[in-house]
Amino acid sequence: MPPQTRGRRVQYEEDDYTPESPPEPAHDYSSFPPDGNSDSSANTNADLGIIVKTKFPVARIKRIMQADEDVGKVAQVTPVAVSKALELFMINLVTKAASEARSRGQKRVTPAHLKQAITSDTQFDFLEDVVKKIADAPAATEKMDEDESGEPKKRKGAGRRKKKEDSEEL
Amino acid sequence: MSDREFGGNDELSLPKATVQKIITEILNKDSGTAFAKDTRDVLIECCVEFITLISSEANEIAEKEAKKTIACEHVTKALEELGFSDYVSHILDVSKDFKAAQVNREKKQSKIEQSGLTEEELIRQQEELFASATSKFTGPGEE
Repeated sequence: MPPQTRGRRVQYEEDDYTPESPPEPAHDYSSFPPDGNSDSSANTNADLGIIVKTKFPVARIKRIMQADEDVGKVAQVTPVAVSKALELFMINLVTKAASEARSRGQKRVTPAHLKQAITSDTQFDFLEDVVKKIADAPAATEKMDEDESGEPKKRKGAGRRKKKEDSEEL
Repeated sequence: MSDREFGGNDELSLPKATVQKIITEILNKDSGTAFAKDTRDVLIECCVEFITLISSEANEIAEKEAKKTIACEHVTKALEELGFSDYVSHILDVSKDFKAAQVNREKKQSKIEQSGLTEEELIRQQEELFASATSKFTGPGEE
């Protein structure tokens, strides 16, 4: 694929999907269910309209919380609340990382895409240490010819040269 | 800092299969997008970091209020302070559901106690029921 073609495709993807502002769910949740349950109308769309049925093991969440020796007793409901927060956090992060991949015309979400999603939002500043060892993703518009072959491994290798010391321990 | 440093200490991480399942559910909208395994592992590290961040912030808030137990309100306050205030309404819903479920469970447990009968009386009533059921069953056959 020549670079121009890729450029056009990226353009198209951006029209379709803006990473900065995730699309509104097609249906208006504030009017569903039609009556009763009035508190759900106060809900923000932090879940982007995504319903996750799988739940985290609450006991594990509690153990991770209490791994911090400063953290003492927690109420029964607390790990459940944290579990929900974690679910929303994951929806947020996974969706952003996937749109980073998509804006580069890639179908596989790599750690570099995740890093890009994290560094693009100050909300995720606390994850800096986690992702600093990951090589940066190439910019969406340049150097595309290099990974035309569609080999993510090759691209990752190319990016790694820059931060060799950091990524070595991986 | 990283999970890898703890080697096989899975206890302080999240189960990979569960996380993978949730990722699949999130990406379900646009199938065709694959989430690499090493990306998932980084995501798990991020999740653990998130839990640690929220709980230590909630802990500080609880301490300031001279509370010994971290309650839901401390979690929501922590989320607000850390820039995740759009999560709060969802948390409150979940907390309400959880508390309602607990009340229901307690009600079920105390149903026997609510009958106001002693154990002997309950057993006697049960035996009466057994007897009447037996006579109903054998009765027509004898006639």
